[in-house]
Amino acid sequence: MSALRELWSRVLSMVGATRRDDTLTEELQHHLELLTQEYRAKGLPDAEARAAARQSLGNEWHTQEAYRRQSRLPSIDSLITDVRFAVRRLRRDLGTTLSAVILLTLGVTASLLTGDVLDRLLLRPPAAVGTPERAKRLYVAFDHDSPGALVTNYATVDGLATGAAGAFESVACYMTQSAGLGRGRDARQLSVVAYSTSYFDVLSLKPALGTLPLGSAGAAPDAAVISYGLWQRAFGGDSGAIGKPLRLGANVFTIRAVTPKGFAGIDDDPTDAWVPLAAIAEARLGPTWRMAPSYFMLRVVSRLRPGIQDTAAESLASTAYRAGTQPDFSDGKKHTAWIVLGELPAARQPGGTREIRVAMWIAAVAGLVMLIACGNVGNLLLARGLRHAAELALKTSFGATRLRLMREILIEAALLAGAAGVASLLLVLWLSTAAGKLLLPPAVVAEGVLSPRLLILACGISILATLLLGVVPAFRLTSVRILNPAHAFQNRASWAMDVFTGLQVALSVPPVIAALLFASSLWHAKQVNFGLQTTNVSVLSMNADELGSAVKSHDAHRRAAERLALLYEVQGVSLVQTVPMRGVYATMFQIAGPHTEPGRSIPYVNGVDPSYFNVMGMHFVAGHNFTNADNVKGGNPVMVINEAFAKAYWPGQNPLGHCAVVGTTNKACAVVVGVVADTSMWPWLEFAHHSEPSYFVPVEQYGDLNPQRAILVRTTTLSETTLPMLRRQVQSSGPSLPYIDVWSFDDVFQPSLRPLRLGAQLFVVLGALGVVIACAGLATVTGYAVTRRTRELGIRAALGASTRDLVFGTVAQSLAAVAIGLVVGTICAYGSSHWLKTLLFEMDPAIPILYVAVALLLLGMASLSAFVPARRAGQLNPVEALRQE
Amino acid sequence: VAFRQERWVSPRTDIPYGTLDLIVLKTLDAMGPLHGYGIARRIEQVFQGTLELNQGTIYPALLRLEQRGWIASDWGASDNNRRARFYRITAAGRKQFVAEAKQWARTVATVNRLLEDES
Repeated sequence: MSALRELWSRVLSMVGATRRDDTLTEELQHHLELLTQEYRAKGLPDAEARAAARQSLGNEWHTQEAYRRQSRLPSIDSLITDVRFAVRRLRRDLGTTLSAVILLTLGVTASLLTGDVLDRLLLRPPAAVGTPERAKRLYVAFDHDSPGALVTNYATVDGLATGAAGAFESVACYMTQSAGLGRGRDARQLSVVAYSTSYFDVLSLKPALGTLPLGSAGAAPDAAVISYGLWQRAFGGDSGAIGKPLRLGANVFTIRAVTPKGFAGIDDDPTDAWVPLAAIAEARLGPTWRMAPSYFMLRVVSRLRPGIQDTAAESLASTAYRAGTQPDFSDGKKHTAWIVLGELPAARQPGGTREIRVAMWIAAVAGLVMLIACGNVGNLLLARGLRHAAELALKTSFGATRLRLMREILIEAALLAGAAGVASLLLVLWLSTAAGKLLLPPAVVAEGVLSPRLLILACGISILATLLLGVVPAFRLTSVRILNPAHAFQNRASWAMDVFTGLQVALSVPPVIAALLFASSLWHAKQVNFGLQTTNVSVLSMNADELGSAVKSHDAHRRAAERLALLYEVQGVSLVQTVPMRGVYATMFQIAGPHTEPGRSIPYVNGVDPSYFNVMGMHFVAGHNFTNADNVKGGNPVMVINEAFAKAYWPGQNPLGHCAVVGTTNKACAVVVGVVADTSMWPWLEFAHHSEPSYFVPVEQYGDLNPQRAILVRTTTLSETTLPMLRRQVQSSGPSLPYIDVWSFDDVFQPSLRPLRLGAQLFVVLGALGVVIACAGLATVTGYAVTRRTRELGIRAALGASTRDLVFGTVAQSLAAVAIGLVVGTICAYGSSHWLKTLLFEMDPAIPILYVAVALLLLGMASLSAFVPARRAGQLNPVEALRQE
Repeated sequence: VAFRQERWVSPRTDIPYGTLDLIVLKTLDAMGPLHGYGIARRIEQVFQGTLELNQGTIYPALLRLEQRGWIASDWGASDNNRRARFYRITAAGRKQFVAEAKQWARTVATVNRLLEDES
């Protein structure tokens, strides 16, 4: 206590230094006068008395200097002396030092990496955006649901801009799409944002080159903006790029500006180019697109007026939004809409996505791993400190204060944590891109790694680690009991080491449990049957707009499909209009003859060729597939329906032979020839067994229903080389083909599986790390115990104690601490498991047997790590042991 | 030497290092409030010339003891009617004195044992 008190008054004395100096001068003056008087009284003449007094008082300058040193915080040079001393001590015990730094580096890296990821994901202001606190993205929540992105039509955006003009300086909307750049082998796919007027006013960027189209005046109908990355890639960073044409698909724009370096857009995927929304929308919907209610793909961003609070803007915007047309709900009820403002980056959805919540859990668990590592290294410091207790006691005898000794220990801890911090920083810089790819949206990764925030974070974590690992040894090792010189020459145990051991084991329980929960959740999720066999299926498609017309697109895709079928590895190829689970399409539909009308929603249609059902692994429950002879222009009008369709329209009847008129141009009634088993409409785990009435018609006959085309390819295997091989095969069918999009079908499940996979992978890594560090710590403690008690064990061995007794006696205390740690850790993990429930898939995390199993497993591993060094105790030769001092 | 410290650099007294605190506490405990000169005087009286005290060195020691809450000080008037700072021992200081006295005894014993072992 008194040491802290001294430190505190030293801190306080930083202010008022002059007053303190004056006080001392006055005291010394007074002292000198009294001394002079004393000497005078002894009979010395005046001058001699004064000289003698001065001599007795000593060098005044020295006194003042010593006084000042005592009143100030310890000076830099004494700190340097301490650092030098600590470095020497760490070097003397290089093995321990290295293992301590390695353990700490593991823990600190885990924390720093996840901390950096969370910072980039949630906290760092979006790069290059001016006054980012005023730039907002609009979300909408109905009743009390959590908010989702506001995706709406232009009329609604217009209504918001005028209705909430009091709150917003500007309101803009945009939509994202991909567009091909170039042809043939050089063809690339760009991520393009179609921006409305004011879009760049909301962003308030400083362009790297050119002038951004600001306000309604600056918005030339063909003004394109390209990203810094595209500028470098496609134009080699040439400033002559401004004014050059940018050919995207069928459209030609003029490049007006380049966005600043580091700005990758405000969406999850990095944006390559920005083109006017008006140009895109007008080409698709005609000049009246602004009034089209169906143009429901626009996302809304805004810039608040200075000084306007979020809540005020939200209430104004909500009123404006409710005044417009609102989306229909399937339950037919009216719902109250609330506009919610969020940060500009799409990844920062208010309330957080499932992925963000998983990332936060991972960061928390990484923190636990760091705690384990700190506990471990703290134990090493304690063990070594106890071995050198005699040295500490001697220092105390020679007047070293407790504060001083604590400082030495803390400096040692700081050196270890600092070394680990530097190593971690390097590791993080090296791992950051890989970790970012795993945990962050691509646009955030594209912003780059190095930022002063990472350095600050590294310093903060190192300081935290210093305190975590240094404070307990600092207090324990300088306690009166340890420093008592009478006991200083004995080796001793410390309860603090056992507490540390117990704590480490307790902390390693939650990561292991989380790893198992996520791994089994992922396994469960992968077992979900969506009704389609999608493994080894790839999807290829080209943009219809870029191919010129729907007919040309159809022909190009059919030619590509024919070429693909020639490949040895390809088992089946199918030309389709809609990729299953990726989208749905519906059209006019009229059933002839008796049937039930199911009330709402017309069934979904897909134009496919006969191989479709085989490629996707669908099976027929009645009737048969249509044939290649049906799949030609003017062939027999036939259709295949799914079970849900049969149930909805012809319940209890045989649907085969019934017929329906599909679309508006084809008047012939298509006869149902087969029924396929239901499959899931969407790749969402929650809707895996949810099917809706759907039917399939021959794609050649019904080609005009839907201009979109894609090719589904089933190959014998699907490896890294498969997709490029498929692309090359299609490219060789025509040198002027636009960009060919190729992806593995299973990618559609990524959004569902990603959070689970992320959790499973990272928790496994962190859990394993935690257990390994904790076990290594336990081995150290046991090893220390054996060394410490060599003499005692030797005596016991000499008196006839059995090997078993000796070994058990050595590990008993540590294992008791482990057992207590395990009980506490398991209970805490069990108690907090319900928080994980929403992140797992169809799993209740409170499975008692799992917790018991993990506790037993950890107990087993801990026992093993304790017994291995403890065996030494049993092998002691009593004679040699007793000789040890 | 590993434990060389800042205080070793400060002006040396011939009082065994680390015992000045103990001596000052003992003095204040026995004599009641004293100013710096009074304390120095008393110490010299007790040691009766066996010990050379550099009187200035007691001031940093007094500051240290005050910082730790073991002594307190007030300004008052001295015998020659000058403003002077009077130091007195606190309750915590008395406790500390008892602890330090024991510690001193132990240290002496330890060092003696060490010397005996070496010889």
